[in-house]
Amino acid sequence: MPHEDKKYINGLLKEEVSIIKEIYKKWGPECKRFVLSNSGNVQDADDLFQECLLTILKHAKLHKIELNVPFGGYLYFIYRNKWIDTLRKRKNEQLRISESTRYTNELTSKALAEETELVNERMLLFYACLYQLSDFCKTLIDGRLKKMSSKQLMNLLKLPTANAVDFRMHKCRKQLKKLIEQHPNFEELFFRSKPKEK
Amino acid sequence: MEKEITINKYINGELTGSALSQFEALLKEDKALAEEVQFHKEVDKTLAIHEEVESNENLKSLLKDLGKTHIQNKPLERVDSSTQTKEAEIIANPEIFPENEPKIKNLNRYAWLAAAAALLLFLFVPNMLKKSNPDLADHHFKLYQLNDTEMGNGNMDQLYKKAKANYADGQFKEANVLFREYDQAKPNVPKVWLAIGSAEFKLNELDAALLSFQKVIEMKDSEVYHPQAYWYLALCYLKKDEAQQAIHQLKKIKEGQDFYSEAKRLLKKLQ
Repeated sequence: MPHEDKKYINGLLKEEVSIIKEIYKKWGPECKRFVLSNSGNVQDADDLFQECLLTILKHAKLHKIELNVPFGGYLYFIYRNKWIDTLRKRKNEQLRISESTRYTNELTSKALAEETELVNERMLLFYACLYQLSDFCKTLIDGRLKKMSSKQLMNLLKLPTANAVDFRMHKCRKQLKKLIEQHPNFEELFFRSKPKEK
Repeated sequence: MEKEITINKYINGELTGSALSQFEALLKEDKALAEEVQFHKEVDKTLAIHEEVESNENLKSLLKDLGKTHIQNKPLERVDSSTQTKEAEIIANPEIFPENEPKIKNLNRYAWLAAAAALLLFLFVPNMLKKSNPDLADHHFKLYQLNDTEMGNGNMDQLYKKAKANYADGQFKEANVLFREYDQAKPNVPKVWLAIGSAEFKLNELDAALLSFQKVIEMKDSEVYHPQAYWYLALCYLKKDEAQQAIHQLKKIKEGQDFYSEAKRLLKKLQ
């Protein structure tokens, strides 16, 4: 049965200002405290919180999130894990996380947060591979993502027929698939059975 | 070649009737093909959602405003009993929480900070002479030039000319009121929205300008105006000091299109 906090996911999906405001009011200060006590500043906290909400939104748009846990715990594990990644990237040698005891036992929230994170990492991998394609393929795939018709793409890329657009699109998609499958993180992101420990 | 075209049409949801049934039957037989098609569909959907969320300037601007109110400006609240964090424990244990260390240690830290600042000054003074991103944006920005073609029937043409005159005189607020009035009656004219966006840029209403230029890209049959829209989108992001987003837009301008050489030069400065 979905948790009553599902309203926060729905609010994000519908971009309801009152709900998003409530999320900020309820959990923004908590995220700020977490970042400030773990080598970050207020700007980091603001950026992190925004990034987390966009990550949740992307996950919710891609797959239906079955939220059967409180939103606060789910959100906490997302910003906690993202922040640990940020600190690792900043090469913070003495990584000692001071964290909330409020959510420690919410293992289901933690698992859902890790799933959201995995979806986001896959998304970033696809995007990174898209940007390795030729300009022609990028424009073609980008145009299709923006729902341009074959005729529009035909004119934009100066292709002779709509069939030529489909043919070239298929070739580009194949190249993209190859890049994705050759990416060093592909195996880990698509075939790992257990989320990485943090 | 026909097979590739059919696969692509299927992924795009453009196959109908008997062609669709035939292809679906083929998918049942050919597992490898079915997996490949599924993979492409998943990639398309994922990329489309990523693009949709990342280009949602309205939402991003809302989150930015809420962040300013609830994270940046609000004073740090005391930890209440329901949100007991280890931070609270740390406050009671000065050896872990630097803010509570004895003052002599803080002085030590300031000495380190001063040394680091001196080193940074030494290393980066030449870079400080470079233009900042917002300055670069202002330096490259030129108002979109509206031409003198007829814009609709008598009344509509008058309205457009009035808006255009205000625009040319630098009366951007007034111009945009009239341009929007024009858009109500005759929507989705790309050059009108390029002018609205340019005026918003001049008024420093950057989020609104981003939406206006984005609108040009989303309009039907507006491809010829895309390079201009990408160029102006890039300048808006640059003015907002979001260089990565600016670079992303500049890279969309292709060789032979308007603003290509300007984009290339600006990219060199940014990368």
